Amino acid sequence: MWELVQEFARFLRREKKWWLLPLVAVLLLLGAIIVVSSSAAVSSFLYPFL
Amino acid sequence: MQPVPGTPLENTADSAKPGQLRRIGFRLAAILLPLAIVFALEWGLRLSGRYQSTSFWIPHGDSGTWMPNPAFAARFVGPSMARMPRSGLVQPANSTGPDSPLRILVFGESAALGDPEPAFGMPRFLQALLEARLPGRRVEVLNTAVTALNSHAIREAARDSRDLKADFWVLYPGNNEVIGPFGPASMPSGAPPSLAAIRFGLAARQSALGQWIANRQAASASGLSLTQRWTGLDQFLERPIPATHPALPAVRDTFATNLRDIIQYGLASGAQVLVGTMAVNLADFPPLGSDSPRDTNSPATRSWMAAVEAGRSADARGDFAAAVSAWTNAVAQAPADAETRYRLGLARLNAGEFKEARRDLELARDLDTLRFRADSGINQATRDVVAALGSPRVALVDADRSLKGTDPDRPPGADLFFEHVHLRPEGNYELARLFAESIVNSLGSPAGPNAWLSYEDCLDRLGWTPFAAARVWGQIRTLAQRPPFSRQSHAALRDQYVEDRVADATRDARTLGLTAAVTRLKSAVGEHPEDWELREQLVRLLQLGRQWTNAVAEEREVLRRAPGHVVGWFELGESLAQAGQRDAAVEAYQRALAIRPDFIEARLGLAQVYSDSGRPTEALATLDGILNDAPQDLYARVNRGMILIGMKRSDAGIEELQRAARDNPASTLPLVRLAEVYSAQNSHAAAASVYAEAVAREPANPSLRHRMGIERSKAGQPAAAEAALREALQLAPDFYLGHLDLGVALAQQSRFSEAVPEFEAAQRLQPTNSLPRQYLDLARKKLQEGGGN
Repeated sequence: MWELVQEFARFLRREKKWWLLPLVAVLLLLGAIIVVSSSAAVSSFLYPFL
Repeated sequence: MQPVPGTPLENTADSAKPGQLRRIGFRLAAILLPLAIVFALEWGLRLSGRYQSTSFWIPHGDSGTWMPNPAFAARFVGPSMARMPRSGLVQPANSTGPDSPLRILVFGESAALGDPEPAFGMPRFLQALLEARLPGRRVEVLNTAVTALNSHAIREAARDSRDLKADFWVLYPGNNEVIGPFGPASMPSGAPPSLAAIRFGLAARQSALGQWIANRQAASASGLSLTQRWTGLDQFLERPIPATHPALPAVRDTFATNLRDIIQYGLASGAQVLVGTMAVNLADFPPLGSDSPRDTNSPATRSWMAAVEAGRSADARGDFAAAVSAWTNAVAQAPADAETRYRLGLARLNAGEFKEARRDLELARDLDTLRFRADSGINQATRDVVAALGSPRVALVDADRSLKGTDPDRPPGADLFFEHVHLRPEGNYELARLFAESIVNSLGSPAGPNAWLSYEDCLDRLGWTPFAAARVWGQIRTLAQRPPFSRQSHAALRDQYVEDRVADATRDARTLGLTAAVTRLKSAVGEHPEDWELREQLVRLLQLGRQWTNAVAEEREVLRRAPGHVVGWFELGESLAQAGQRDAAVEAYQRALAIRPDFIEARLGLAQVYSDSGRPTEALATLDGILNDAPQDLYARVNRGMILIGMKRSDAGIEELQRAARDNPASTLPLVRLAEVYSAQNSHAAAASVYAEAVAREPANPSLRHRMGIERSKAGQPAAAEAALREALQLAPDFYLGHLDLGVALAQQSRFSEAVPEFEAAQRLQPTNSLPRQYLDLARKKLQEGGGN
């Protein structure tokens, strides 16, 4: 994973494509939200709501 | 050298400008566009109503007061499984000065809330105790506990509660750390996310985009219901968490971190913080799951089974010393088995070895693989956090060690708890006493043991009656019949105990009488007119007595003080519908549904009122909404069928009833409705046949056999009718209609001498009813005339 990040950083530096960073950051953010939200919890309640 | 106009060099420079501009524009777009898309999505979702505030407290209109957010729990368990807080309206900041109330905030889960009847939970007893102990001061106990949540949610609620400037915070959390949101038992993988991931996820769900993504992935339930429809417990049965589970240390660390944060929020708000360890049922609650040896072919397992058998045998003989020895032997061979350890603890209790018994019962709790109770690790984490803070404004209330029942030597059991963690009123009183004593000591006015309001006086103050007891014990009986409770080793004994409590409460209610109970409640409400939870008890009694107009008036008073109380709006709708105020009922149901659109009973009630108001299309649309979320919902399907039949669409209606019967193979309701429809169509043979199916589902129901007999009689099958009616009377010998209709069936066959005793029995059962007398005279006359036999 770390190698992938390093390679991507080298690519950005070599090709001077820093403008890609916001796009990648937004995609990562959305991906992270999807991942942390997918941990759908179940719930235990024994009694009816009163 | 200056470039010569028109040379290639100047041309290159000129042509580079548009390209450079394009490149800058592209890069700007690349940077800004993703952000703009996220921004647009966020505001698009908000403007389309797909955003809910995640704060625990939200403003109530322009009144300047706050109310608890009904959607608060959705962030942790998804919208359809979210339970709601119960508090009424509060002033944002506690006023200062001599008239300022003593404000106490209670944080926790269902045990702190007071399940199964929050009106008699620990916070309510705390209110009653402190009111009486501090007569010159107004006491305001605010219950922020929410069922099924845990320290992750409590931390958020605590952060949002700082501005309330309470004098005391009472913390009573810990039972749901394993089975609650983000606990290992509630995660399909069994591995909880890291604390950073949990907090990032919770932060993300404060945005509309995060809520939209989370809601699409949230586990769904059929909706909020006043009946026990949810079967989520089964999911936990499939995910046992043994004491050696690798996630448990992290669970305790996370709990400690959250608890530390919660306490710090309390201190920052200026409150004194009382932190409770969790008391649970140790003595009368066998483990829900055990890690027992399974390989019955192995000599080790067979040896353990022999030791267990020896222990059971010694228990049965009442030879407690031998039982302790046998169970000690069994524990040595299966040290991870919770049930064996529990039995050793019981044997030691019986032998009078109380200290050792407590240790074994605590170990049995810790070994329980269905971790519905806070274990010793959680309680120790609480003690460690309080000790590490070392603040004079933070006090430990060690309920785990201090809560005592009727026998102080015995660990807490059925005298304090309904089941594993939820306290009976007796237990809530004792727990509230522990917190109340700590509060009063902090205020510098320590009380002697007799300075406190008695348990019985607290019950009167809170509006407890035998009718409430019957309702609560009835819920416990329903719960006990379901797994995992129905599988516990003491199930038969426990069920009998619960049955006895239901019988006691029913008898006491009959002795007291509804009128006297209403009078008692009215008097209590007169003394505490602002107490909406007390007033709600009065509403329940008025509804029981079918005093709908009074119930409406009182419920409106409840809702004035607790406008977010969704069940209150539903109950108002019910009372209004019964009082014939259908338009107002529609409005009340709609208020309930505005708070919780998935509230099943409110949707059913609304559909019924629409139907009764001659608005069948709206009724059908409402029922379709329920069936869309829960296609197998019995009542929605049956009601839909009946409305279709009322619209003269009999075939479609009958089809719905048949589907309801197929989808709910244990229920007789759709069959009864179907038979009634056939009977109304004069298809008595078909009706009798459907009743026969209902009888097969519920053989011990005399009413079904009686109805079957009537339909057989109308279908010209007198012998079969007689058989059904006799079966009904075997099940219920004092069944008035059974005797009357059996007499009629016999008389129709000219068997008057057999009909006479049936009419006599009916007359005996209902002496004021003239019908049996008329039939009896007619049968005797026929006999005198020499007709029949």
